[in-house]
Parts: sequence; C-alpha cells; structure tokens
Amino acid sequence: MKIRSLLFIIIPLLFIINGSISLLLFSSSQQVNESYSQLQERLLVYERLNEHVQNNIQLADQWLSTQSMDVYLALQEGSKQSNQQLQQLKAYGPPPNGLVDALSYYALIESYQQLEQLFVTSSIHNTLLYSSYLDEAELLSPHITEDSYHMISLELGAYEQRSAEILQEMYAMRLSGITLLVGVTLLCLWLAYFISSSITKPIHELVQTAERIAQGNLDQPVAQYAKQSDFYRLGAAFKKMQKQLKRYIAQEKETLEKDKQLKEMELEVLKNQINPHFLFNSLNVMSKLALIEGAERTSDLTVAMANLLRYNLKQLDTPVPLRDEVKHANDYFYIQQARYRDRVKFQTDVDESQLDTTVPVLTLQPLLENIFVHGIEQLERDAVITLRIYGNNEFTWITIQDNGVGMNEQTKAQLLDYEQRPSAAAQTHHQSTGLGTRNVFRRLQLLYGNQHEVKIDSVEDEGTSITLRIPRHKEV
Amino acid sequence: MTRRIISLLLSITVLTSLFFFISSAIKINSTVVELNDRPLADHETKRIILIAQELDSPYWKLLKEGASHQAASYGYLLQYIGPQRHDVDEQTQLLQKAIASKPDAIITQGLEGQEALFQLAQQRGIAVITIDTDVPSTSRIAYVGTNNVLAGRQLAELMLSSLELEQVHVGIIIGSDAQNQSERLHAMQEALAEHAQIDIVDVRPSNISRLQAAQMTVEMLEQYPQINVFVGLSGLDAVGIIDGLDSLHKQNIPVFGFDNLLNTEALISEGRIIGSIVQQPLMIGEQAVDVLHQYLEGKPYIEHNFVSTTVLTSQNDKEVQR
Repeated sequence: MKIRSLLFIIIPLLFIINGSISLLLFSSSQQVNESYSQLQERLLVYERLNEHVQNNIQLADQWLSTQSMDVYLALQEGSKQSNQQLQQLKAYGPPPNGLVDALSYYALIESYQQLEQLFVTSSIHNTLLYSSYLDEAELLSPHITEDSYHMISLELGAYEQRSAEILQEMYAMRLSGITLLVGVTLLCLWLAYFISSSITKPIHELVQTAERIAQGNLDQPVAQYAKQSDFYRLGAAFKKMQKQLKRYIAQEKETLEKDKQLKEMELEVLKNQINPHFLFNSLNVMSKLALIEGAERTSDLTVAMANLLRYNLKQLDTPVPLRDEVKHANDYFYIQQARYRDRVKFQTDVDESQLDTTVPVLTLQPLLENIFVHGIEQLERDAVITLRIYGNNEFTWITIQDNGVGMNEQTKAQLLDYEQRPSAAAQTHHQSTGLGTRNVFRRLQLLYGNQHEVKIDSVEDEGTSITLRIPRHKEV
Repeated sequence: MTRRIISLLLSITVLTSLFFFISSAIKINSTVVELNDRPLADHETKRIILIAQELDSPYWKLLKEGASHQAASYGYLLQYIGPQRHDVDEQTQLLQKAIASKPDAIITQGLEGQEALFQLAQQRGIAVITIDTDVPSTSRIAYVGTNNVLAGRQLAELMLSSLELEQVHVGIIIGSDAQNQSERLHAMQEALAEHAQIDIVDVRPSNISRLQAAQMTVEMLEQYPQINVFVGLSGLDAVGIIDGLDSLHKQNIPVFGFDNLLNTEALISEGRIIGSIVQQPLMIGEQAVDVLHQYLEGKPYIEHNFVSTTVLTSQNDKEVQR
C-alpha cells in the first residue's frame, strides 16, 4: 500500500478509536450519573411529599386553633405542592419491583388529598365537620409516612439490584478501556515502527545499490518492490538508470575506438599526401634530360624508378596478378643492378600458367629488398637470386633463393614469428631487420589464413630460400 | 515471523478489549435504560391487597404464593402486606390503610370486632374476602379457608385413634383468640367431651410464635406435671412445644399439631409429633382470588369456601377430610 494512503487511513482510524473510547466512557458514566440523580430526585420527591402531608396536618391543626389567614394560605400552598409532587411521582412511574405498592401509595395519597380538600374547603365555622375530616386525615398520616419510606426503600432496592450490575460493568469497562488504550498505543507504536521501516529499509537498500554503482559495479541487482509501493517507481527508475548508464559506457567505448581508428587513418592519409605526381613529373623530366644528354641507362633507370614508385604508391591491400609482381620485381632488380652491376645475377624460372594468381601488392619487393640488404651485400661477386614460380590448380608456390650469408636460427625464428605483432622492444632492437619480410608474411596470413604457408631454408654462409604457398583462388 | 506474531497479538488484544469495552458499554446502557424504563401505572388493572396475620410466617407466605400466582393469571395486581410480628392492632391499622388506598379488593383474616371497617370498605366499593378465619359479617363477600370446626374434630379423632393411654391429660397451645383457633378448640373439646379418660388440663396462647409456644409448654408442665399429651392449634405451635419439651428433657410426651411447616414432617417421622392436621394455604390463596374473580366479573360465587385438610402421621397416610 502507498505510504500516504496508509497514513491517511491509519491516523484518522486511531483518532476515531480513541475518540469513541472516550465518548463511550463519558456517555456511560453520564448515563449512570443521570440515573443516579434521577433516583435521588425521586427519593427527594417522596420525602418532600411526606413532609408536606405531615406539615399540612400540623397547619390544619393550627388553623383550627388560631384561625390565622397566614396558616390557611400556607395550608393551601402546601396542598398545592403535595398535589404537584404526587403528579410528579405519577409521571416518574412506579418502581419495577413495586408496581402495586406504588398504585396503593398513590391511592392513599389521593385519599388523603381528598380529605385535605374537604377540610380546606369546608367552612372553618363548621368546626365539627372540619375536625372530623382532620381526625380522619390524621389517621392516615402515619400510613403515608410509612408508605413513603416503603416506597423509598423499594426505589432503593430496585436501584441497588441494578447498581451492583452497573458498578461491575463500569469496572469491567474501565478495565477493558485501559487494556484497549494500552493496546491501541502499542499498536500505534508498532505501526509507526512498521511504517518508518517500510520507508527507511528500501531507501537504505537503494542507497547501497547507488554506492555500488558509484564504485563501478553496474551489474548490481536492484531490489524489486510491490507495484503499489511508492518505491516501485524509484526502484524501476534506478534500474532504468543502471541500464542507460551501461549503454552510455558501451557507446563511449565504441566512440573512443572509432576516434582512434580515425586518427590512424588520418595519419595514413597524411603520409600519402606527398604529392606523387610531383615525383613522377620530376622523374620523367630527369629521364628525358638523360635521354637528351645521351645517357640512356640513366634514362631507363629513371623510368624504372618512376614505375617502382608508382607501383609502391598503390594501396597495400590491393590484390594484383602475380604477373605484375614479377614485372615489378624485375624493375626493382634493374634498379638494384645499377648499383651492384655484375656482382648480382637475377634468375627467373616462372610457370606462366601460375601468373594469373592474385597476390597482395608488394609481396615480392620486400623479400628482394631483404636479400639485397642482408643476404648479398657482403658478397664480392657471383651473387645469384633465383625467383621460381610453380604450382598446381590449388596452390602457387613462390620461391626466392639466394646464395648469400644466410641467417642464423634466431633471425629465422624471429621472421617466422609473424603471427603476433612485433613488440615495441623487439622493434627498436632489430630496427628494420626483417620488418618488410615479416609484414609480407603477416599480410598473407591475414588474407589467406591457414591456406598460406611460409617456409625458410637457410644455411649460414650458403644462402637462404624462402618459399611461399598461396592458394590460386582465394576462398571467400 | 516475529513481526507477524506481534501484529497478530496486538490486533487480538485491541479487538478483544474493544469487544469487551463495547459490550460493557452496551450492557450499562441497557441496564440504565431498564432502570429508567418504569412500568406505566395502569389504573385499569384490578388491585388486590392481601393482609397477612404475620408477614414472614411460612403459612402466610404459602398463601400469598397461591394468591399471587392466581392473581397473575387473571391479570390482577396483588399487594402483600402484614405486621412483622403477630399484632391484631397493627393488622387492623393495615386494614384501615388498605381501605384508604382504594384497591379493588382486600383479602384479610376475619378480624374480631372490626365490622365497621368491613362496612367502610363495602361503602367504598372494595370487595373484602376473609381467609383463614371468618367473622360473622354481612359486609365481607365470602370466606375461603379451612372448615375449622371439622379440622378440630379431625384432630380429636386422630388423638383418640392414636393414643393408647389410660388417662390422658392434654395441654393445649392455641395460636390466638382468633375465630379459626377458637373454632378448632371448641370442636375438639366437644369431640373429646364424651371420653372421660381425656381431660384438658389447660389452654394457653402462643400468639402464633414458636418461642412463646415453647415458653408456654414449659410453664404448663411446671404448673401441671401430669400433662402427658400436648396439642398445638396453630401452625408453629407443635414445633414450639417440641422445643419446650426438649428444654425439659421430656421427649416422650406425644404432641399433636396443625399444618406442615418448618420441620414438622421430620418431627413426625422421628415420632415426636404423632400427627398434624395440614391445611392447604396455597390452595386457600388460589381459591380466594378465584372467588374474587367471580365476584369482580359479576358471576355467581359461593360464600363459604372450605378447603380440605389432610392428616399427616408417621404412616404418612393422608386422610383427606371429607
């Protein structure tokens, strides 16, 4: 239940209960008091009535002897009074335990009153008649007193019977009232505790969850609350917040990744921004100039250089037919021959049918470069580099062999360990040693996966042979 | 779990105390309402005043019981009054008062020499019925009670049949000088007069008091040690005689009595009281109201209504009078 409606129900309810307890207690004691005061009133009327009767008889006696007007008036007044009181008594009704007694009592009083009326109205001068009435009334007067007290005792008896019950009930009521009050108070305290804990407990839980989230634990479960509870929405909001947070963090990560890639690309673009046309044009001018000046070899070299450069500027991932690669290798060799002259010889043994196989651009050049830089630089003469291409329907094998210094096991292992990115330390240590070669291997691996194969046979001071296996048709 | 128990306990406490509280309040309310709800004095209801000889005497209480039972069945109101101790003067005053309080009827013992009061009642339209004891009167409408003459004879017969003494000296305790008592006494004396072996030594009044009966017994025995039979003519006399005999340690004197009040029956089965002439006060009360009803309804009624008496002896054979 919602806390607000709970409070709205319970607080007025408690007020009503407490109020009605007080009201009942008050009205009950009021009733009892009232009935008691009514009893007193009745008793008083009996008493007064009796007094008036006795008094009137005395007055009548006095009047007979004194014949004073005052006495007569007093007598009349008393007579009126006693009549009133009788009517009053009749209006009260007889006590339940003395119906017949009361009727007799009323009749007795009435008989007396008749006599009284007779002697009040009868002429004072007719003393004889007057005194005979008076005598009769005097006879009745002790009976009236007696019956008055009898009636009083009956009234008291009737009340007493009930008053014991009433007192007992009043006692029981007080007892149960106290119990009720204590019970309600305890219930109030209990409810207060209950309500407050129903507020503080979820808050505490949510605070804990919030703290955990603040510590970075986004998978913290959020407690579930009953649908009617105020905390249902809070809990739900919390959960939603948690989810959103997770999503934002994931988005942020993605964005960072993208930024990084973008930067890398930008760098790439910057690198490529050296205007290649300027270089080609320059090289063309140089070639033409060399031709004009009669330096044909220089001109050819310059053209080869331009071709090489153009080829090198191709996208690295661009696949090219092996034929192009072989041509490019020849160009490269031609340039290198300008430097090494007769010290190096380039042999090719190519199966023309395998030249349609596509390979990533610049696959052969880095390997040749490596041979020139590391393999045959120290050779004084008779360095031979052999390029052999052969294969079947499935694979093409490319072998590049030299008779240079060869490589030790460590270098070989390092070259073959191309599947991992080279560590920064390794990079600095070996500088560019084998970097191009390794890059070739790695590209092959990325492109062909398990279908490629790299083999290095090397004997120190005798030469190195590197064999690449490439699938003829790249599996998609 | 503990929470549930506490909640449950508290709720139960509150609800039960609430229940008791409210029920107490309701009870108080209803009691007070009852107290204040006083019956209406209906002047149409016929009112009867029954004047007893002695207010708390068992005989009169039985009589009142019968009368009030019958009055209730006719829808009459019955008021029961009487002197605390047997007192003829007070009884007379009560009769005066009863007349002054103008009931529809008065049921009273026949009072010796109070014919004027009966006449006054008649003048004021009050029907007077005498019970237990009658007086020769023209003003009372009827008598309901024991035929005391017959009862006296019955007692004499019982004595003759159960006494096997050669010479019988009888001491008699009489309740009062009321007519019923004297009728019994005279009838008994008459019945016994023929028998020479029986002589009545003395007759003394107990004023229908057990204590006085005992005192009189002692006094009589001291005065006349030859007395060997005692007779009590009113209800408590026989029991009083036994008390007196006990104080003198003369348990072997046979006693005859009237009515079956207090421990009379036990004394009979012990053999202390030979026999008792038992009146039927309950029936007398009932019949008195019956006669009154007839009269008030204007129907014919019988003036002398005798209620039978039975003889109670140790054989427990109840011999119904006539």
